[in-house]
Amino acid sequence: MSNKRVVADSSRCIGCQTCMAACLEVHNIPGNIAEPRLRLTTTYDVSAPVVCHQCEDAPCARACPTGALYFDEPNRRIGVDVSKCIGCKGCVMACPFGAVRVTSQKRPVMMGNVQVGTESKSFVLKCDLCADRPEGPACVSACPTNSLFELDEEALEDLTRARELATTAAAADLDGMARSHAAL
Amino acid sequence: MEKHQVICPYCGAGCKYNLLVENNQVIGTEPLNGLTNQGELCLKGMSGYDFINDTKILTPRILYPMIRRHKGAEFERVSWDEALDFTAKKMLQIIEESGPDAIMTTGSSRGGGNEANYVMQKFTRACIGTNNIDNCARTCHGPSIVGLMDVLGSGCMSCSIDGLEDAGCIFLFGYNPAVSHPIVARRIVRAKEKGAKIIVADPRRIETARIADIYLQINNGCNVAFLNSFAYCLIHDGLIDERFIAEHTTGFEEFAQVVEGYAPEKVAHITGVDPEMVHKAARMYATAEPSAIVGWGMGVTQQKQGVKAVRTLASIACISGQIGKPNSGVAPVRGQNNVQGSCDMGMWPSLYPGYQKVDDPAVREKFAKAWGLPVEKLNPNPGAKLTDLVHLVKEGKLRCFYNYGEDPAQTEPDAQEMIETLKNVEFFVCQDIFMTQTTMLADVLLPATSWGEHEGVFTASDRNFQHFTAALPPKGECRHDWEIFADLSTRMGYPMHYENTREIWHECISLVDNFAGATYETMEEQGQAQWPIREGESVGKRDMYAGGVFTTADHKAHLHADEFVEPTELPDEEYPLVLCTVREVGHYSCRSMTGNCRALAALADEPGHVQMHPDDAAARGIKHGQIVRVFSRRGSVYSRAEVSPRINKGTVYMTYQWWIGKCNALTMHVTDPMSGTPEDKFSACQLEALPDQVWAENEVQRQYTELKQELVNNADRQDVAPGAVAVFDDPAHVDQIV
Repeated sequence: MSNKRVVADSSRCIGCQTCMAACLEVHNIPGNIAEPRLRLTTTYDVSAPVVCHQCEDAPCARACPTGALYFDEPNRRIGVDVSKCIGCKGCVMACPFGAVRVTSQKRPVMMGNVQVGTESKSFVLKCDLCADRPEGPACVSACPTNSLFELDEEALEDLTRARELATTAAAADLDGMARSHAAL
Repeated sequence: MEKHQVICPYCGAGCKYNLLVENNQVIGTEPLNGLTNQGELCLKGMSGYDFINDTKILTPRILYPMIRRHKGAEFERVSWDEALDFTAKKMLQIIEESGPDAIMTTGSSRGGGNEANYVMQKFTRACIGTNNIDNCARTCHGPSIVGLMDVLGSGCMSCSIDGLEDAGCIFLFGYNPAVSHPIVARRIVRAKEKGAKIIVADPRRIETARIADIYLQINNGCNVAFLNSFAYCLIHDGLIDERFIAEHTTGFEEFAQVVEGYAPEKVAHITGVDPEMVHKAARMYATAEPSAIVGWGMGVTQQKQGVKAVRTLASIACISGQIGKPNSGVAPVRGQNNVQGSCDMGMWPSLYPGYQKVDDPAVREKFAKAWGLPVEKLNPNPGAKLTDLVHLVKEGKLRCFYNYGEDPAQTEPDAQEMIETLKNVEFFVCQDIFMTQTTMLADVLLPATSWGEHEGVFTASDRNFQHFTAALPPKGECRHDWEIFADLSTRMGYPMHYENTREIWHECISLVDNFAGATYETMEEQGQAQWPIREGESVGKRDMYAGGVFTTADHKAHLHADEFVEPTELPDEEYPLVLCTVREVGHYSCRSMTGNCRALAALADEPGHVQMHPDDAAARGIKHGQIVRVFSRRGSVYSRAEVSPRINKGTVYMTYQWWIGKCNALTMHVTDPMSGTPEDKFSACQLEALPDQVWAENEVQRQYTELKQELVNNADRQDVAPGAVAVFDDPAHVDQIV
C-alpha cells in the first residue's frame, strides 16, 4: 500500500486559512508545537495550502539523521517525532515542495524545581496526517468549501481509472482519422 | 461535556453551532446544520470561542464595576449600586443643565443581541429623551441603509444567503466575501459549480476574481463613474426591462440623463477598465437566467459617495429587471453578526425599531402608548450620528457618551483625534466585556456578560432572526446588558423591569408589524424566522419585493443616479500611495474577542500586514515579510510588508484589526455627508523601508508589550475589593501602608 496524502483542489479554495487554524488546534497540546503544518500560499492565479506529499521515497526522511522524520508504514505516511529533531534543516532543503519547516522554541532548563536558564529546542513541522485522530486529518474535516481531501491508494486508483476511461472515450473522436490521414 | 447552541458572534452570515463546555470552560465548537452554514464553519467560528474563558492573551475581561471619581483619577472598583447611582446622578445632572441631547449612546452590533439593543434604545428615547443613538453600521453599511431606503424602501438584502447559489449570475462589487464572510464565499463557489456566471469588480485580484467569468480591475475611488457606465451599457445595449421600469419605478428619465455622460469609453481614464469588458459584464448581468444578484461590501460604502453608489446599484437591479423575483436583487452583506439586528432594533438616530421614523407622529404615538409615556416625552427630531461625536464634543454640545460594546479608539478613522475626544468628553460610560483602548478611558466601566453567557436573538445579514443560548453562567459580577440598562433607567426615574429576553423580545415584535411573527416559539420550531414575517406567520419572506412591489410609500422603486466626484485626499508627491483599509480573515473588528483566542492569535498577530504590489515594494527597497513604516498626514505606524501581484499598483491595503499596526491612526475623518460614513477606503499615505530590521522587530514588540501592560494595569484595579480601595486611597491611612 502506498502512502496517503492531503490534496487541495485550488478551484474551491477561498484562501480562508480554516485548514491552518484546524491544524494548529490539533497540535495545540503539551509536547507539541501550536503551529500549522500546512500553509495557504497564493500566486496571481492560484490559492491553495502547501502540504506534505508523504512521498514514498521521501527525501526529507532520507535526509534526517536522527529519525525525527521516518517511514511510518503502519500509518502509511512519513512520520514525525518532534522530540528527536536537532534543527539541522536537512529535511527543509531536501523537500522539493516547501512543505517542511523547522522552528525553534525557547524552553526552561530546570534543576529540580528551580529554573536555571533557557535553552533552544528545534522542532520539525510537517503534516503528520493527524495519525492519532480517528476522523482523519483535521484540515480535511474543517475546510468549509470541501476543497481538501485525503488521497489514498484507492482514491488514486479511482482517479486514474476515471481518466483512463475519459481518454478512451475521447479516442472515439479520432476514429477513422488514421485512415483519412493515410489517404492524404 | 455539555453542548449549548449558539449563533456565531463574528460576521453576519449567521452560522449555527454548539459550544462545548467542560468544567465551566468552553473547550471547543461543533458545527450544526444551520440555514446558512450547513454544517460548515470558517476559522473564526471554529476557533473563536476561548476568549470567554478570559485567556488574557491580548487583554483581560472586566468582571467588576469600576468608576473614576473625577477625570484623571485611577479606576476604583465599586458595588453595582454605587456605579449605577454615580452614573444616574451624573446623567440626570447633564440632562437638567444641558438637555437630553447633550447625551449620546451607541449600541452593540456583536454579542449582546437584539433584546439588549432594544432596551438600550428604549432607555435612550424614553428615559433620557434623545434620539442620539447609533451603532457601528454608521462606519460600515450606513450608506446601504440610507441608499436602499431611498430607492427600494428597505435597508437590507432583498435575497437570502442560501439563495445566492441558485442565482444565474452574481455580480460582486467592492466586496471580498472570502475574507469578510467565508461561509458566504462558499455559496459563491457552489453557485459557480452550479453554472452561475460570476462578475467581480474590485481593485485587488481577490479570491472570487480567480473564479470570475469577468474580472474588472477598477481603480480605487471610481465607483459612481463605473456604475454610471455600467448603467449606460444597460440602456444603450438594449438590456433594460422596459415593462418593469414603466410599471414599478419612477425617475427613469432623470436617471438616464445622468448616466448618458458616462459611456465606458469616455470614463475609462477614471475607471481603469477596458470599455468592451464593461459592455460584456452588463450583458452577462442583465441577461442572466433565472436571476442575478448584485452584492457589495465596504468597497462601496466606505467612500465619499457611498450612498450615491448604493442608490445606483439598486437602480441597476431595477432597470435590468433583476429584482422582485426569487434569488435576485441586492445583497449588501452585513459585516458584524448583529449589525442588521442593531439597525432592526432602532439603534439609529432617525428610526425606531423596525425602521419606523422618529419624525412620524403616528409612530411616536404608538411607542409612547406602549412605553407608558406622554407623547411629548418622545423627541421628534432625528438625533446625532456616531461620526458627529468628535465635533459635538469639541463644540461642547455633547457632555456624556454612553458606549455599549464599541471600540471607537480602534475602529473609527483618525484614531488619535478619537482618543482625544473620548478623553475630553465630560462623562464617558463604557459597558463592555474587555479592557480595551477605549474602555480604559472610561469614567464608568460596567462589566457585561459575554456572548456565551447570555441568551438572545441575533439578526443575520439576510434578515433571519435566530435564537442563541447561554453556555456558561456570568463571571465575577457581570450582569446582562439589558439588566444594566433597565436598572439604570429605573434609577433615573423611568422604571423598567424584565424577567428575561423572551419578555423583551415579545414587547419588541408587538411594536413592529414586519417582525410580529418571529416569536421565540417560531424560532425554536423553524430554526429561524426571516423578516418580513407578520403575526401568525411561521415562515417569513426569503425574497423581498415579489412582483416588483417595493416598500416605499408608493410601492415603486425611486431610481437615482449622480455625477461622479473624486475622492477627498488624492495621492501627491509627498503621499503618493492610496491607503485602503480592509479586513483580516482570522480576526474580527477591534480584535478584543479573536485576539484572546489561542489559535486565532497564534495564526496572525501584530503588527499585521500592509499589502502592496511588487513594483511599489521594489521602488522602496522593501522585501516581503519586513517591518515597514507607513505614514500619512494623520500619523505613522509599523506594519509588515505583504508583497503580492494580486495588489494593484499604487495602492496599499491594511487590515483594521491591529492595535500597533493601526491603520486608523493614518485614515482621515471625512464622511459621506448623506450617511456620515467615513471614507476609509481612500486616503493618501507613504511607505518607508527600515534598514535595521532587528530594531524594528524589537520596537514593535516593545510597543505591543507596553500597550498590553497598560490594559492589564487598568484591569488590575478590579482585583481590589471596594473596601480595600477605600483604605488604600484614603490619605489618613497612607502612613499605615507606608
